[in-house]
Amino acid sequence: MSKKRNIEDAKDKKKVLITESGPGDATLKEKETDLSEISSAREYTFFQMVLYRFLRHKMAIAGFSIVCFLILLIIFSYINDLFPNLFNLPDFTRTSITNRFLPPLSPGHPLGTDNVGRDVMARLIYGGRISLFIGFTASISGGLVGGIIGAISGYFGGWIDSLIMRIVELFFSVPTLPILVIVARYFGGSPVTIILILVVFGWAGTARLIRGLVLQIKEYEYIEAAKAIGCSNARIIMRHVFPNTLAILLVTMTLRVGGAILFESTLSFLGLGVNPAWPTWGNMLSNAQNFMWNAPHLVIWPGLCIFLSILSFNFLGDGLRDALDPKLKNT
Amino acid sequence: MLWIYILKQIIQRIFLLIIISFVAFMLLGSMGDPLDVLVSMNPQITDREIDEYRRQQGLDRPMYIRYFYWARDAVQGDFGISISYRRPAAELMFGRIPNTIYMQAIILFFIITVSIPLGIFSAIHQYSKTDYFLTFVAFAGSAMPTFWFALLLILAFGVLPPEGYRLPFTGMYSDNLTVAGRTVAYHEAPLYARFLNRLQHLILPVLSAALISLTGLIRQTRSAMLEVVRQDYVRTARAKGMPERKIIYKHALRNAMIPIATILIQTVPILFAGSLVIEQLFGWPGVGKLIFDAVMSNDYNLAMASIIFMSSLTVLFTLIADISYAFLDPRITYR
Repeated sequence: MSKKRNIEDAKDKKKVLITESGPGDATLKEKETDLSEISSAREYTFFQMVLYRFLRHKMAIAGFSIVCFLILLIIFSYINDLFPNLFNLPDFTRTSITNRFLPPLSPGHPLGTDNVGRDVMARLIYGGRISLFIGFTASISGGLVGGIIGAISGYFGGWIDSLIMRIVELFFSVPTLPILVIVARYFGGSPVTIILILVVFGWAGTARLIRGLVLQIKEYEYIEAAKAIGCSNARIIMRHVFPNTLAILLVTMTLRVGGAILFESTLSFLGLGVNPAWPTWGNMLSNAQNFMWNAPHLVIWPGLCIFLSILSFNFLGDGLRDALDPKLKNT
Repeated sequence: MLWIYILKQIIQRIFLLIIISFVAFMLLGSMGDPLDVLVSMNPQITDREIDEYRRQQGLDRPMYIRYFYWARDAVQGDFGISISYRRPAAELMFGRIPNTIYMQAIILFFIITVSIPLGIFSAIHQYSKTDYFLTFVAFAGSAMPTFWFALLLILAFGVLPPEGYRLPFTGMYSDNLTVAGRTVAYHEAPLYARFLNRLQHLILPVLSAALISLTGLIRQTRSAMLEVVRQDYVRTARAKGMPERKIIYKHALRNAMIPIATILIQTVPILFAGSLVIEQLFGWPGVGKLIFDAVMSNDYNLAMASIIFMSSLTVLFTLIADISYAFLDPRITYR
């Protein structure tokens, strides 16, 4: 397990690629394989290597499949909107007095019905639409805002940097949940305001991460070379700094989707999230809480959806991180 | 140098608290007229009376001026009168603080006693079956929404078991206890029965609140231990032929405790924030539930008081976490 052996093995790149990735291994392993990757890069393109590493990551593949399945469900819900008679899916708003609290596997209602007779499966599919929409947009826009602010802070340094970092530090010690309760109650429960809240309270972490990265990149020779041949600041940031932060940005965004879904569902669960007229997994759980004695199954499904989607985004993010750059494993 | 660093941090945190209180005050104050509740309860109230009350309470002044008056009183410990309870907000809040601290202390104790031994075990037996299992549990725990886990626990132990085998899941204790076959009021029950009853009420909230921090701490203890085991002084100890037990507990663990202690302090504010959801779910009469109820009923004096308390606590513990780093690890220098 010494560095020496790995350099020798590097000649046989296939062997190295197999030995370097094992599930759940700690810092020890990937530091040894740094050298082997440099030598094997000549024969594989970057994307081939990323793909290879990603495909070997079982958990990432599992996460990726679940995410794909969730996206398919969203597409399905849009097709169902256009052609309501195609799939025979019950309308998610349709109530019924006679069909209340139906257990799972009832005819016409595979996952049962809720307290006013609405089909649980249809509500889960449409609820997932809003939860995932909030998760995606909040993490992407939060990542971009944080990334840009972090890049500015790290690249320019000086008083801009210290000002931005003070603000970031403030955001780190803000008691998020109590403040969120007021903010969410004040701005009301539309998906857009929830996304805005998530961005405002979520950019700081990304900004600090990207700043650290930019500080590193700034020291590399190619930046010095670009400065020497007279590139403008904007060009250096766009052509040389930004592309090198993309990998980490992508990973944090993926990891943050889960966090955004969790926060949205927590707010909805507390009755502060999306308006209860539109189903989300959070407010379905909030509703189910009142009928635990009559219909325990109502508690299972929405929570399982939240849990599985967060888990799969976490796995996907971890897999992407290990695949894009194994050095980052513990960042 | 350290003292200047600490002083800087303290000033920064006080500044943060002022910002938080200002934003919270502005948002709460413009959220709805606090008089709405009073007016709806007194249908015969006249406009003149309302105006009079407004002037009397200083509600006719602009928001930012009201903030300064509020801040002046708050610094002196006077948080105004709660509109829904008709009692001083500070008094109501201080009544709730022990309940929250009581639960949080037990949660913290539970987390420490469970996660650190498991983390050490996981690190010593790296890549063993137990290690993989704990890694899996940690991953699942990090994705588990607290409220869903709590609902599942309530379902599994409070709803589905047959009568008599259920665990209670509302409040801190039952109003009536069954002692030796007869029903007695809580305050007349013998001590052991009261203790047992309180213990039963703690099980579900503590388990559900602890899960996320617990799994996180197992992982962090594990990686802290693995980091330390790689150090030269551990190798030296091994080379001297020291028994493995002694190496782990004397050399490795003591050094691994530095990052672990810092992480522990950092989990305290996270736990307090989580009390909002847990107390709401389990009907626990603490500060978290107070914040939620006060915000929902536009009782802004009470909401401000409890939010300031919660924020101060969070800010204080993040400050302690930052400073403790310097005290615990002499290698770190601060500017």
